[in-house]
This record gives sequence, structure tokens and C-alpha cells, in this order.
Amino acid sequence: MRTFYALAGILFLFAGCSDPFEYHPNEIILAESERDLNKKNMAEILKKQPSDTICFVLMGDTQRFYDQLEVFSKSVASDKEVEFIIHSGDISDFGWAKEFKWVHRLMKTIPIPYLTVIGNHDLLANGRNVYLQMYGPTNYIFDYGFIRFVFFDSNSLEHQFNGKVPDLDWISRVSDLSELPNIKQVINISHIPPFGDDFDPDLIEPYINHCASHPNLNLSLHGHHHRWQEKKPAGEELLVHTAGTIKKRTYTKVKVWKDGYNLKKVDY
Amino acid sequence: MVITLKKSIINFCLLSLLLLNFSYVNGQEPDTDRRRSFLIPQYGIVQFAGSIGLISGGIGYKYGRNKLETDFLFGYLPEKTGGAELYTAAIKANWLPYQVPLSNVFELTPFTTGLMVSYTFGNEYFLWQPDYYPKGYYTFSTAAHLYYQFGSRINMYFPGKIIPEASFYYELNSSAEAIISLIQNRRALSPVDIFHLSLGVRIGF
Repeated sequence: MRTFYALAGILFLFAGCSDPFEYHPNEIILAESERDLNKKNMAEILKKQPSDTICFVLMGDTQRFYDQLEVFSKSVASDKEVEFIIHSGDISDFGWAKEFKWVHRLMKTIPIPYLTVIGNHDLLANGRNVYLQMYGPTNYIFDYGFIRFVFFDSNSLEHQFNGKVPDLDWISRVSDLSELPNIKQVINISHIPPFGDDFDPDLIEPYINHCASHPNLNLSLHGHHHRWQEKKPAGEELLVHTAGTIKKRTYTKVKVWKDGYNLKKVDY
Repeated sequence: MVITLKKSIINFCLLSLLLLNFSYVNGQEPDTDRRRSFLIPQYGIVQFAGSIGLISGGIGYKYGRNKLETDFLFGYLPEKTGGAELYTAAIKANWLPYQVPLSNVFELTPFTTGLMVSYTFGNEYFLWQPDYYPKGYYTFSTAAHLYYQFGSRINMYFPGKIIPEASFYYELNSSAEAIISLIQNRRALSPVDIFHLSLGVRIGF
């Protein structure tokens, strides 16, 4: 009988929880506060006054590393220079909504808004639908100060190298600054970098050519490889960078001004 | 949603009754010495939640001096409730170490525990990673999951009646992936994050 009472006590505790039931690990049941987060956070960032130098943090690959994300959240929170955080993808490990929710629960404790880009793990199962509902479109732009940030899905392998991911037509269309006098620079952000095996091999060269030939595009920032890398596939015109993983307690602090940039590896 | 839910419950109750009649018509007299064919299920189940759908139903068998059970379940999650329409099959095994009689009719099973394997149908879910990935790219399945569960039951006995026995149960379950996540993240996650409640009814045939 004692066992029963003990279990009944646990049951009572669970019944009091906000989500005592799980219908399915692939259910997508979101609160209003868990929807359209990129849009909401862009509005939050735009409340700030961008100066001549824009400062943001590039981190990512949170996957199953919640404890490490908690350490990150405390470490980055005290940096007053950082205007926003970019999560470079692989928010989840299995594409489950509950994983996205756990990551958001930790990210929202940081008093700095964050934006995300979709990673290959986020496309597993029905993760794409989770991402669309929770964060928004997988290809989107964000203009802040003199910079246009171009966020895009580069998880070509997940799309079986169909030649459409990344969407180079869309990327070159939104990179046209001819009617945007206030925008002086373009920064590309995606999960998988344009080298290695997982970026569509047929699109690596066209992508690099697009970046190198663009007069105002010098930075292509990514995650996926879980380590700091800097590559210059087209000379000084373009830096392709991958940030370290949250698991190894490292992130990249990026500062950009009108004719230059600085990437700093932060270990905490 | 409520109407759909009600409809689903009614459908499953009807199905359970049908199964019940089927075994009755087949000459299963309630008071024989219970030497039934191995293939004829001993009870039907209707379950709410439990990671295999909004509602699931199935059949099961008792063995090992009635201390072990195996359930075969099929669950449905409508998109309206779950944000995704999902069909899931599951095999659940439970161990019932002991019972506590409460009266002539009621009996308590204070503790049940066991494992469940589920399989989600659909092109988005793979049992093993498809061929287009390099070897060992994803080492887990997105269609099949292993669960651990524990709970309690109240059993009722009505000898000689159409429904000779029925039990109501609750279970708390969590997937292996979630349990590993909890073990690796004891500060950021808590058991409440990974264990989920399900409620169910078993009707003896």
C-alpha cells in the first residue's frame, strides 16, 4: 500500500504540471509565447539603436547539451556589448518540439534577443514543421543598422542534394542592395558551411562565386562542424567561418563596422 | 476537438464491445477453466495519451502466473489536437509484482512497470537512416522509440457477467532518448520534463 500512496503522490504532482500528458513525441503543441520567435525577436532587436559598430554572438549546435547551454546563458548575459545572439542551427537533436521548447526556455533567460537558422537535426522527423511554427520561415532576412543578414537553409543533404538547397536564386535576389541606400553590408548565415560533404557539392562553387563577386558581402557564418574554423576560399574578399559548439563552451563574438570586421573566439 | 475526442472514445468503446461479443459468440463461456487458445486475447485496452497518440486501443495477454502482460496497441493523434496527424503502433510489456485485495469486487495493483517499443508510420520517420546519408550519420531511429513506464491500477471483478473484469490504470512514461537527456542534463532538465502521464482502461474478455 505504501508503494501505491507514494506513486499516487507522484501522480498528483504530475497532474499539477502544465503539460502532464504527451500525446506523441512528434506532437507540435505550442503556446502563443512559443510561436514566431524570429519575428518577435527581430522586433525586439530593432528597439535598440544600432551604432557604427554592430556586435553579435554566433553560437549553435545546442542539440542535447542543455546544461552547457545554461552555462552559456549565464556567461553571455553579462556582456553588455552584445546586441543579439545568432543560433546557427541544430537547436534540437531529434526534431522534437519539446527539445526546441527546452532550448527556448534557456535562451529566453538571457536578456539579449536571439535569432535562429535551421540545422540538419532540426529537419528530422517533422522538425521542419516545428521550426516553421516556432521560429518562422527557413529562409529570411533581417536588416539591422547598415547590415542585411541573410539567413538560409543550407542543409542540402537533408534535401537529398536536390539542387534547390540552398536557394541561390533567393539568396542573390535578397542580396541586391541597389534600392537599399542604408544597407552597406550583407552577412550570410546558415547551418552547414559551403565546404565539406553536407553542402550540395554542385552548389559550393556557385555559392562561393556569389559571395566573392558581391561587393558588400565579406562574411559567411555557420555552425555544424562543432569547431572554430576560418577559410578564405576566394582570397581576402570572403571569410567563411564555423563557430564552436556550446558543448565545448565556446562561441564567436562578431563585431562589424563599415569597412571591417573582427571575430573573437570566446571561451568561458 | 471535444466532439472528435468523444467520437474517438465512442468508436473505441464500440470496437471493444465488438471484440467482446466476438469472443463470446465463439463459445468462450466465462466460467470454463480458462484454457483458451493462445491467440485469443484476454483483454482489450483503451488508453488516453502515453506518447502513442491522443487515443490508442488494443489487445493483450497475461502470462507468468498473471504477473506479466503484453499489450499490442495502435494509436491515433489527430492534427487538430497534436499539430501533426500521427499513426503509431506499439508493443508494451508490464510486470505486476503483486496485488492487494480491497473487497470482493475491488483489487489494487500498487505498482506496475515495464517497457514499450513504438513505431510511428510516415515518410518523415525512418527506422534506420536512409541510404543517402553517409554511414553512421544518424545513429538513432526517428520512427521507433523505446519507453520505460511505471504506474498503478485498480481492478474490478464481476464473475459471470459479460465483462468479467475491468481495470483503470495510470502510467508515467518516458522515452530512452529523454531519459538519456535527463541523465546528461541534471541541472537544466527535471523528471517532470521527461515523464508524461497516460490513463487507460482494460476490459477482460
